[in-house]
Amino acid sequence: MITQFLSQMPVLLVVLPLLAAPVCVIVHRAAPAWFIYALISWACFAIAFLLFVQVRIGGPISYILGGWPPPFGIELRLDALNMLVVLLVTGIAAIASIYARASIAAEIPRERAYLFYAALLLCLCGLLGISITGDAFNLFVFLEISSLSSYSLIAMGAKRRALLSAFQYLIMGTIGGTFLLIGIGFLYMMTGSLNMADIADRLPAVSDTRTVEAGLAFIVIGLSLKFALFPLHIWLPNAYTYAPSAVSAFIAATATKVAVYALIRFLFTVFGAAYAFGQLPLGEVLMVLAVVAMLSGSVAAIFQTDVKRLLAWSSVAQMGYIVLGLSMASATGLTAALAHIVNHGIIKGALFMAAGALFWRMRAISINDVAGLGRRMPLTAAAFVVAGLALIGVPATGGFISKWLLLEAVMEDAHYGLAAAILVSSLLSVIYIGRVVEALYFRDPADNDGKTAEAPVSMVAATWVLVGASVALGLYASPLVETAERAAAGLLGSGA
Amino acid sequence: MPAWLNNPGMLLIIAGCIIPLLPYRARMVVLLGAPAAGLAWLWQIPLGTTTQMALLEYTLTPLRVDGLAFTFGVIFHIAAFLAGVYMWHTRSRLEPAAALIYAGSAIGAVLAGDLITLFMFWEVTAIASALLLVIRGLRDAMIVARRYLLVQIGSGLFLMGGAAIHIHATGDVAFTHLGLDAPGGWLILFAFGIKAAFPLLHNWLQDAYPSASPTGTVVLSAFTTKMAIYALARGYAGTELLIPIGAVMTIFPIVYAMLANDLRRVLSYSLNVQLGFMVVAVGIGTELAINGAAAHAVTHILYKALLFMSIGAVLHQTGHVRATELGGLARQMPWTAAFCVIGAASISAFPLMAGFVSKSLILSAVAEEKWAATWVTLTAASAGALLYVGIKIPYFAFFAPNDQIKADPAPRNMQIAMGLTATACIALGLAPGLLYSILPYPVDYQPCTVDHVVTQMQLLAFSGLAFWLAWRAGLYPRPMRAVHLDTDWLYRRVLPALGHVGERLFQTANRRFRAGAGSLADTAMTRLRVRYGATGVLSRTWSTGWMALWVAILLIVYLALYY
Amino acid sequence: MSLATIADAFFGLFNYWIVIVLMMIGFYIVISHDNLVKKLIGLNLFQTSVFIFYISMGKIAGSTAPILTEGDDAVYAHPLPHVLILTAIVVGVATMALGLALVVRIHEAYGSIEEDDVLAADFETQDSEAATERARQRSAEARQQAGARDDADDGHRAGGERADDGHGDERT
Repeated sequence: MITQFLSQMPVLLVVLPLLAAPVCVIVHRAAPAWFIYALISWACFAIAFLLFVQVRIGGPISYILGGWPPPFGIELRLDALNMLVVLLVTGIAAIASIYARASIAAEIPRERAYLFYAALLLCLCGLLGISITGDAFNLFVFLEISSLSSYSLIAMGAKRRALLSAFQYLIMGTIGGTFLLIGIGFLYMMTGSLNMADIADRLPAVSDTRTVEAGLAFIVIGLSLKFALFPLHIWLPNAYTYAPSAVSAFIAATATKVAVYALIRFLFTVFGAAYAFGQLPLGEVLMVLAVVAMLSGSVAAIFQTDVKRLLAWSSVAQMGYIVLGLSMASATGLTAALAHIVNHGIIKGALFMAAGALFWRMRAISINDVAGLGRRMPLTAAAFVVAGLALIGVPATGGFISKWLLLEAVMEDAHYGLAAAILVSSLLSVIYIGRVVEALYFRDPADNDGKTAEAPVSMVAATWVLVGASVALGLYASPLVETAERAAAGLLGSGA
Repeated sequence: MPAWLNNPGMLLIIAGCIIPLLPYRARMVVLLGAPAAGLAWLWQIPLGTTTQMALLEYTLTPLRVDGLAFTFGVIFHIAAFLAGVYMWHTRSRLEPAAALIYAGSAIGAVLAGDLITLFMFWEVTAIASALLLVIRGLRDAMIVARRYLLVQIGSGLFLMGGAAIHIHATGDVAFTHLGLDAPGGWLILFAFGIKAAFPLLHNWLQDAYPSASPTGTVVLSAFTTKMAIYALARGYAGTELLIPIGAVMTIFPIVYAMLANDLRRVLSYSLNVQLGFMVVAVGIGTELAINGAAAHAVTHILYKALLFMSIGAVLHQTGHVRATELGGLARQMPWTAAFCVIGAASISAFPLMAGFVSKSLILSAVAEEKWAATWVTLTAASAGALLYVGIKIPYFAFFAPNDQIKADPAPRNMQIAMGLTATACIALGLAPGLLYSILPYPVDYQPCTVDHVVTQMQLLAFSGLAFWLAWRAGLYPRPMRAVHLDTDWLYRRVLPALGHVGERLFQTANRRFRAGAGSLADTAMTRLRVRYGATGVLSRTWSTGWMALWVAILLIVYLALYY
Repeated sequence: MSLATIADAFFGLFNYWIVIVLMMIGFYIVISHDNLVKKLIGLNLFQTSVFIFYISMGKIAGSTAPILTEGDDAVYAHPLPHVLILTAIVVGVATMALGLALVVRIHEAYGSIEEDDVLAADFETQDSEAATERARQRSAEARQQAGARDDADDGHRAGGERADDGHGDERT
C-alpha cells in the first residue's frame, strides 16, 4: 500500500490540485475552500519533500502516465533540477495558504473567495505540471493552465485597473504560449517526437535546419514573455501591482521562476548547451537583455511611489540576474541562476507578503501610506527590512549567496563589465529598498488615527517563515548550492 | 554552537537585537552586561584560537584571536561599556540597540579571520552606525545620515569588489597581510581608506559625527575609524605609501579644527589628526610601530570618548555646542570641566597621561626607522594638539567669559562614565604596563625617561605660550558663526549638480527617442500610434499593441541573428 | 527554375502559406486595433493559424482519416497532431472566454472597450494619484521639519540651534 503510494507520488503532485479545484467550486463557500487549498498545498509540499529526498538518494525518477512507455506516452521526469523548482513552488503555495486566509478575506468579497481558491489550485497544478513533465506539448498545456488561472487571479484585484492589467497579461501570455506552441510544432516536425529526452536524442541529426533554428527562436521568445525578460516585461508591473496581495506574493515568487525553469529545460536538456550557446549566438543576446533588465528595472523601481509596483519592477531586474547566470552557460553561472531562482522566489514572496500585510492595515500601499508604520507594525516592518536586505544581497542572507555565485561566474569568464553592472544594480536596489525603509521608520505617519495594531498573526507568521527561510539559506547555503550544482552539472552533462 | 555564533561580537549583536523588546531596567542591564560578558569571554579565549565554518566551497574563519585582534577587541568592549554607562539615562529603545549592534559588528570585524566575514561585519557597522545617526540625531541628521550611509556602503562595495578579485585570483579567503601588490589590493586599501578617513576621503567624518545625539557621537567616535586602522594594520602593515598619507592627515585638519566653531566638529577634525598618527605607524610596520598604532588606538578611543562625553554633557545640559555660545561653565559643571581637562591633557600628550605613552611609542618607532621629516611632522602635530584641542575645547566650553549661560551639573550616569574614562586615561599613563599587557607584541619601552619628559614639557610649554601670544595678538582665529568650506563641497554641490544635468539629459534623450519612434511608427503603420502621451515616464503602462510589437521585433532580431 | 516548380512550391506548401498569412493578419490586428474585442479576435486568428499548422503537419497527400477498418491498409493521416490540436483548441476557447469576460468587466468599469480610452482613464487616475502623492510627500517633509524644530528631546533643547552651523548654504 505504502509502496503503491510512493510510486504514484509524482502524478499526485498534479492530480491533487487539479481535482481539488472543482471541489472548491462545488463547496461554494470560502472557509471550506480555503481549508481544501491549505490541505492540498501542504500535502503537495510533503510529497515534494519526500520526492526530493528520493531523488537525492536514488537519482532521477521517471513516471509513466497511463502505461504508455515514452516516447509515445507522457512521462513525468523528476531530477535534481526540477525538484528544486517543485520544492519552491509547493513551499510557497503552502505558506501562502497560511497567509491567504486573512488577506483574501479582506480583499475579495466573501461570496467569490471560493473561486479564488479554485483558481489558485489550478495555478498550482499548472506550475507543478510544467516543472515535472517530460513532454514538450504537455508543458504547453500546463503553461496555459497556470497562465489562464493567473489571469483570473489578477483580475480579482480590487481596483479597476486590475482588469486591464489582467487583459494585457492575457494577450501577452497567450502570444507567448502560442509562440511556444509554434516552436514545439517545429521541433515535432523535424524529430517526430514530443518527449523531451527523445527530441534531444534526435535533434543533432537535423539541427542545422532552419526549422529547428526558428523553433528555438519561437520557444525562447515565448518563454521570455512568460518570465518577463526585458523588453517583454511590460505586462508584469501592472499585473503584480493590481493583483490581490496573496496573488502577488504567490505569482511573483513562483510563476516567473517556473517559466525560467522551462527555458533552462529547453535550452540545456532539449537543445543542448553546445547547440544553443555554441552554434547560435543566444548567450550574447540573453546576456545583453539581462544586463539591460538589471539596470533599467532597478532604475524604474527607484521612481515608483507604489510599494508593490516598486517590488514588481525589482522583479524585472532580478529576472535579469537569473538570465545573466544562465546566459553564460557555465557550471557556475547555471548554479548561480538556479540558486537565485530559489532565493529570489523566497525573498520576493516575503517582500510581497510584507507589503500585503501593510496593505491589510492601511488599505493602500504607496510609500506615503506606509510612512511611520515601523513603529505601529514593528514585526511586519522588520520582516520587510530583513527581506529587503536579502534582496540587496547583504551577507548572511540567501540573496548574498546567489549574487556571490553570479559574481564568481562572471569573474570566471573575465566579464568585468558585467561584474560592475551587477554591483551597480545592487547599489540601485539599496536605493529603492532604502526609500521604503526610510518611509517605514524615519517618517511620521501620514495620519494620526491611532491604528496601532499589527496585521493578523497568520499573515505576519507566514511572512516571517519566508524571511527566516531566506536567512537560513544564507547561513546554511550548502544544501541549496550543492543541489543547484548537481542540477547544473546534470544539465551541462546531458547537453554535451 | 554554530561557528558563526561563537563570537563575542555576535553576543553583542544578538543582545542589541533583543534590547528593544525589554523594559527599561532590563535594557540597561543588557546594555552594560553584554559588553562586560563579551569582554570576559574574549579574555579567556587563548591567543591563537580560530574557529572555522564552511560557506560554499570556502572555509571561513569567523573567529581569530591573535595579538592584534585581541587588543582591538578588548578596547572595543571597554568603549561599548563606557558608552553604555554614558547613555544610561536614555529612554530610547533603539539607540542602545543600534549602539550594541554597532559595537558588536565592529568587534566581529576585528575578530574576523577572512575577507567575507570581514565584509559582512563591515557592512553591518555601516548600517548600524547610520541608524545611530538618525535615531535621535539633530535636525538635518536624516540628510547627513543619507550621505554617511552612501559613503559607508560605498566602502563596503569597494571591499567586496577587491575581495572578489582577491579570492578569485588566489583562491584564498583568509584576511592576512595583503599589500598593494596582492590582487584587489588597491581596491581593498581604498575601502579601508574611506573608513579610516584618508585625506579627501575624510569628509563623512566631520559631516556625520557632529550631527548625532550627544550619546550617539560618543559611540560613533569609537569604532568605525579604529576598525579601519585595525584592518590597515592587518592587511597593509609596512606599506610605505601610508606614511605620507598619515603625515598629511596629521597636518591638514588642524586648520579646520582651529577655525571650527562647533566644538564637536573641532573634536572630529582632531580625531582625523590622531588617525594620521596611527596610519603612519601602520605604514612603518615594525613591531614597535604596530604596537604604537594599537596602543594609540586604545588610548585614543578613551580620551576622545572622554572629550566627546564632556562636550556631549554640555550639549545635553545647555543645548549649545558652539564656542561662541559657551563658556563659563566651569563653576556650574565642575566635574565635567575637570574631566574635560583630563581628556584635553591626554590628547595633548602631557606626561603621565595615556596619550603620552602611545604617542611616544609611535614617535620612537618613526625615529627608529629614520623617517626624519615624518618625525618632525608628527612632533609638530602632537604639540599642535594643545593649540587646537588641548586648550581650545576646555577654554571655550568652560573657562571663556560668559555669564549668559546657566546649567545644572550633568546627570549622574554621565559623570560616572566620564569619571571611569578619565581614570582609565590616567591609569594607563601612570602604569603603562597595563596598556602594554594587551598589545600585540611584547614591549619593553619606558616612556617616562627624564629627557623625554623634559622635551615634551618644553614642547607643550612653547605651544601653550604660542597659543597665549597668538590669542593676545589676535592671530588665533576667534570662533565665528560661519561655515567652512572643506573639500566636501565636491560631493555636496558638484555631484548633485552633475546629477541634475544627467537627469535632464536623460529626460531630453528619452523624449527625443519617444518622439522619433512615434514618427517612425506614424509613417509605417498609422494605426500603431501610441496614445499614452509624451510626458509618460519610463514605467508607464503601455498599450497592448506596443507590447506585442516588441515581441515581433525581438523575434525578428533573434531570427536575423541566427541566419 | 520553371514556372511549374514555382507553382509547385507554392501550391505544395499552400497550407503553410495560409498559416503564415493568417498568423500575420492575426498578429497585426492585435498590434494595431484598439478595440479589445477586435484584439481578441486577432488573437484567436493567430492561434487558429497555429492549429492549421499542426493539422497540415499530420496530413499526408491522399490519405484518409485515421480510422482503422478491417483489412484496410490505406494511407491515413498522422492522428497525433490532430489530437494535440484538440487540446490546443480547448485552451484557445478558454482563453477567448476569459478574455471576453474581462472585456465585459472592463466595459462595466470604464464604460468603453477602446484600449486608448481605458488607458487614458488610467493615466488620468495615475496622474492625479501621482500629484496627490507628491503633495503628501511635500507636506510630510514640511511636518517633519516642523516637528524636528519643536522637538525638545534631550541633546537639542534649544532646537533649531544649529540652523546655521554645519550645513548651511552660505559660505565664507
